[in-house]
Amino acid sequence: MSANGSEPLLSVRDLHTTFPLRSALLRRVTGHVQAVAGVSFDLRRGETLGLVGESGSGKSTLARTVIGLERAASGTVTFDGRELTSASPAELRAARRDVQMIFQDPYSSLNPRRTAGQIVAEAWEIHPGVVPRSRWRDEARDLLARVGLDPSHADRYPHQFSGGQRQRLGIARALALRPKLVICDEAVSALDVSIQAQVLNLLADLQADLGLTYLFIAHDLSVVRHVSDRVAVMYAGRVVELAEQEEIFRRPTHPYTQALLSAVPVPRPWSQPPRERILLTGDVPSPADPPSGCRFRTRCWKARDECAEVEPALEPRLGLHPSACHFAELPAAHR
Amino acid sequence: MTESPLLSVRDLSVRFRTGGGHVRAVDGVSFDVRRGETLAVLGESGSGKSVTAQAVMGILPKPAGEIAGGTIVYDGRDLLAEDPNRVRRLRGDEIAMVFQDPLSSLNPVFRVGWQIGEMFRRHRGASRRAARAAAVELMERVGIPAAARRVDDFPHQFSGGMRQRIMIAMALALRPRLLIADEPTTALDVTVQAQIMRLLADLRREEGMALVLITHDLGVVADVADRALLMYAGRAVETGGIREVYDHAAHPYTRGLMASIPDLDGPRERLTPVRGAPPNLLALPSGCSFHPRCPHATDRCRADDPVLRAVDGRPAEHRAACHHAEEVVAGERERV
Amino acid sequence: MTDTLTDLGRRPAAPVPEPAVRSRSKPGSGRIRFASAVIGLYVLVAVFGPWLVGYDPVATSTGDRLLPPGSRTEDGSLAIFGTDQVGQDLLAQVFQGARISIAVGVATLLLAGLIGVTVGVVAGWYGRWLDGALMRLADVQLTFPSILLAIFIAALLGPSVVNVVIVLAISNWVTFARVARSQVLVTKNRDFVDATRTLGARSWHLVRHCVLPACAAPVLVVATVEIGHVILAEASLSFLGLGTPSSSPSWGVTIANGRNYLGDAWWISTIPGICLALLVVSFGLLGDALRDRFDPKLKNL
Ligand SMILES: Nc1ncnc2c1ncn2[C@@H]1O[C@H](COP(=O)(O)OP(=O)(O)OP(=O)(O)O)[C@@H](O)[C@H]1O
Ligand SMILES: Nc1ncnc2c1ncn2[C@@H]1O[C@H](COP(=O)(O)OP(=O)(O)O)[C@@H](O)[C@H]1O
Ligand code: SF4
Ligand code: SF4
Ligand SMILES: [Mg+2]
Ligand SMILES: [Mg+2]
Repeated sequence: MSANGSEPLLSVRDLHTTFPLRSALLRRVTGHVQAVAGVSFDLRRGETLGLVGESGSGKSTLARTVIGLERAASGTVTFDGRELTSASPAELRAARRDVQMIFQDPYSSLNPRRTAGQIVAEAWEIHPGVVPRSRWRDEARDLLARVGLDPSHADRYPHQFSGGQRQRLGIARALALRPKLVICDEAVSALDVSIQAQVLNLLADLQADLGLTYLFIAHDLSVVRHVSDRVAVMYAGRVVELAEQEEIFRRPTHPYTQALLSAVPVPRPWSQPPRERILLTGDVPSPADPPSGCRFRTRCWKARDECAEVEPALEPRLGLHPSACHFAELPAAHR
Repeated sequence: MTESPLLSVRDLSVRFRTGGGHVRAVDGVSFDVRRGETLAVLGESGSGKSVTAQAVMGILPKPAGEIAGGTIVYDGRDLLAEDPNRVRRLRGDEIAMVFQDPLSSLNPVFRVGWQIGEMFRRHRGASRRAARAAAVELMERVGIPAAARRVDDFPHQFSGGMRQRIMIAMALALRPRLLIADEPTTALDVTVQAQIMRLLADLRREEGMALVLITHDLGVVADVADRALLMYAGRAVETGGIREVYDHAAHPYTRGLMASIPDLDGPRERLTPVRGAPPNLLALPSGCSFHPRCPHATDRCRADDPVLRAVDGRPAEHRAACHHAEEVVAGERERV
Repeated sequence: MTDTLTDLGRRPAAPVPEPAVRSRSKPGSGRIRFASAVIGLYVLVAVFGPWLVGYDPVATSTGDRLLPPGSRTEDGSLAIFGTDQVGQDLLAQVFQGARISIAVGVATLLLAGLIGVTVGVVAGWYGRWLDGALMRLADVQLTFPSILLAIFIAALLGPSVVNVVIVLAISNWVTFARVARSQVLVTKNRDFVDATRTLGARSWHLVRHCVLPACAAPVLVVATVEIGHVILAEASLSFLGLGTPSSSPSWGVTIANGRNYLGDAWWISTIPGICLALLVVSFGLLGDALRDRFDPKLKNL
């Protein structure tokens, strides 16, 4: 279609996803969880957008809505020029071939009753015509080799692989349809550090070779910094700050981003100038009953009356990148 | 250093019976925990950190797991030789443990105040009223806001971080002299993790207790630990003061772990992970069990099993189980 | 909140799974071997027995009536299990009964399994009102006594092996439906189902490749547990005259025939009774052992 190089690959506008809250006894709907509450962003071709935030902030729900596993309550998702939220099931299925996902849990995300080769070939079973059946075996072995698995292990079952190898298998499956966009939902979070580093390197190589675009979800900021070109910070269903990687880590202007950064453990704290540690108090607010105005105000040390009344928009502040805080300012070290 | 350590573990071996044979999940591990200090036990999944802690606490899964050798001496008393009943009481009173998953270690059907108070009722014979008051006090102590109001809530009404605070409150109830925390923050978000680590550090200082912090995350403990013990495939491979170990790692595995961690500052270089994967404990490689992954491995490594020993030119306390520790410290480039 | 478990962030992968570390002496091996041997013997007898020792349902031999086990009949052959009130060889009857009882049991399970798994999968997969409706239907079925159903059908269609199978299948599908449904509910939220969905798979592909294979083991376990019950139920129905007709003498029929002679000829009822009990117990043992091995969660079914 109108897939020219300059328009974004993925464009999300004012996306909302809600889940009904049911009473335990009668299963009556008693309210709604706003898991994603008005998120907009663009994903450029070939870039990696990192998505960070605490658990429950809506990262997975956002990803699952983009890929069509959850239904959007409102808003639009435009992929490669096609509007998906209003697309027909057939159109959706076609578009889905171009968007694939790598899951967090390398144990539950692979069908335990299929061999590695069958797992990789399943996509071709579903979309006949992509790869002729006679080529499945060879193509599957190529893919396994591509992600660093021994092709002779194609007949093994998932439980015969280690966690890191399973994650590679999940990556191979996601690549089988030659997608344009790959969503990595905590794809390395469950792995040990040494294995995590191996998988991060693999993802970087694949991006360079295949021109992939990544939406990379993680809660580990060091990992996100390592892989991302741009970073979006989510809090309670909203994006509160969005900027180039350098900007987010050097010049965060939203208090939540600043707190998040200051909480990241540093391997050798003694080798650095002492950092100002911002210790947040309190908990993430319940998404069923978010605070009025700025959702962060219940934990924000800078909150004032205005924060409870007016919801801050995600817009450029201080002449810098977009940040959703009325009182956005650079961290003390920069002032 | 004349003072005897609070906990002294020598040559501890733990094995599990499995279908494929006996697995030595912990193999000849020795370490000391001094009074009031914090020891970080580090290593990747399956390296034997939790099993070591379970052995000290006497909570190895039975009958699969058993202590196959070694001694565990707490405050001059050999826990493996003494009367089991007295040891059990000691473990309740003086040695306490906090687990990774705070939801599954709290009983969902009892109010948290009751569960904390239970410690006082059972071990100290306190009245219900006194136990409840003590529970509120403890909940305040671990930073639960409006403790008096929340003492009658159930575990599921608390967030993950709050539940971990409650677990810590229970562990602290009897003012233990040794607290073992097994991945106390792994299930928590970074912001909450920072709160809990701060809480543990503060409590340790104020109570003067010794702390064993088990984690796979080298960054989390750097701030609070005094010494580190690194484990690999059931062995202790390096130990020493935490700054010494982090800055002058003498074991290639420790180096590899450090190099695998992406940095928050500094240039974004390609990571240099440890290659390969941890070994199958049922079929450990010959000699040094790290040799298939080690960039420094030589023929000697494939034949001889290195013992934990002092590293020439480093403080005596810094020990590593590597034939080539000196070269590793010297930062010799990897021979690939 | 619901997500805190899946989001256990830096929780490293569980210890690297080494297939070799799987336990070799799995739970229940002894029980499984013993029960399988007994059941295997029964199956052999059911298949080959009637062929070796012929049985003719209309033959009578008054001279041979009520011979105790081990007697010689008039034509000089040995009646190992004795004879019944019309002079039929009991061994031949027991062999024939094994064939009928096991055939009825297997056929019933196939039918009940087909109905139950279909209902359970549909209910679990589509959920919502369909789930509600089908599960209420199952509840109703459970409260309806199968004896009543049997009387109904026997009265309506007359006694026959096929009707027994239908009655028993209708009384037994619910267990399969429940097991299949709970397995679907567990499986359908697993990541690998979502992963397959993102590949573009439709419901049918997901059910066939993700859900049904996950149902197989528990359904087999349930089938093993149930088959004993079914065979027993068939015997009870036949005993009451509501089951197989006397032209196809299942054990229940033979036991019923012997009940008037308990004083004089204990063996007529007792021997098929023992055969029945041994088979039912073996299936029970096997089912329990399989359940312990494959699916300890099914304990209280
Ligand atoms: N109950 C058990 N039966 C058999 N083997 C076990 C059992 N518990 C632990 N092991 C084995 O002992 C070894 C060490 O396990 P341990 O739980 O101590 O690892 P860990 O270092 O705490 O890892 P993690 O970071 O994943 O918690 C592993 O190989 C594990 O498979
Ligand atoms: N299927 C669901 N039903 C109800 N609530 C859900 C469901 N999935 C997610 N949520 C809720 O939506 C919010 C966002 O969840 P999620 O997107 O998983 O967060 P993250 O991935 O950032 O940890 C959480 O409060 C979570 O409890
Ligand atoms: S808008 Fe107010 S409450 Fe929200 S982050 Fe900014 S200062 Fe804090
Ligand atoms: S002993 Fe050899 S193989 Fe083992 S860590 Fe040292 S250099 Fe590497
Ligand atoms: Mg998530
Ligand atoms: Mg552990």
